[in-house]
Amino acid sequence: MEKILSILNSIRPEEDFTTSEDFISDGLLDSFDLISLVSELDENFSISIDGMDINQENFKNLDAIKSLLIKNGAKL
Amino acid sequence: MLAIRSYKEISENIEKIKKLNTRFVTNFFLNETKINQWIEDESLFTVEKGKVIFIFRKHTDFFYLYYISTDLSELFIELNNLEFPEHLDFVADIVGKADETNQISNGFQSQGFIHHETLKRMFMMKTNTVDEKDLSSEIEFATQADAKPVFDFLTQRLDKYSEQIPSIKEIQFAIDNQTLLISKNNNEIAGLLYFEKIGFTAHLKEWLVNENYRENKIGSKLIKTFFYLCNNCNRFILWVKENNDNAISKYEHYGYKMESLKDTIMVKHN
Repeated sequence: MEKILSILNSIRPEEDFTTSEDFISDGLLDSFDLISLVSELDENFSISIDGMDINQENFKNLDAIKSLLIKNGAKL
Repeated sequence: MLAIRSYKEISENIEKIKKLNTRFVTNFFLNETKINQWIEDESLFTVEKGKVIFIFRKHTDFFYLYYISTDLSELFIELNNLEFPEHLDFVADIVGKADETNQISNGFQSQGFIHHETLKRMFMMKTNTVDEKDLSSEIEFATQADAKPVFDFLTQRLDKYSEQIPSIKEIQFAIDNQTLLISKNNNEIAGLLYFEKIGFTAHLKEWLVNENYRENKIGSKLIKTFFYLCNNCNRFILWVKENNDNAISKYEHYGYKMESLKDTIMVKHN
């Protein structure tokens, strides 16, 4: 989780990702950030997130991102 | 060109590109609500060229051009191979941090696009709230009858390539959502403010005062109402032309600060 948080904070340093249950609906991440986040997660976890998984639901909070990473073969 | 009929097709396109090279570059940002709206309007089309998928979005009398590519060199090769229909202009928004976008805009330039404008993003974290008693009764929510006059007001005053003028359908949607504020004198639009709220983020999209009413403080009355309606938001963003010092200083006056994100608008005239 620490690593995911640190990636999120590198994209949006001014936001607190620990208190939100829905980053997209709460406006913590926007459509620009989503693309950066996919690239950062791919690189940092040496995976390639499936294009079909790139939807807002899979990036809505820390648990969703964690599940997405595991599904795409990341070793957490 | 093939029409895009579902958001799933976009995901499948991304997957197709990622399978070729893991990484991908794109200027097509994934806002599901917006994309679904465009699909409903039947304004999204796609063309597949080698390792690049181009997406076209019809907007009034020109097309926005988006790409999903394995890398930049493939993008520029296929951009060169792309057949652009005659008599239509194409607009590409190259969005990213200042240092990342120059190479892409240069690549577009070498394929016949010309630099049209550069926008910069400004943001503000919430500092204080506005009281209802400070609002002016001159500002009201636009009604559906205002949709066409608003569209005309915007198209007569804004640059169609760089200022993302909303379509009539988008204006009607904003009216339904009470995110379009208007001030009228008799039947004339004296000023308007159009915004979007996404969770706790408020995006100021258009803020415009009729040149005949510049002395009536309509601009400040509009923005005060906007801040009041967004009292629950903690982040405020907007895009501004990088050389519009007058607008930038106005936004700074209200607390907005410049970000490093920029949008270089490239246009291909046919």
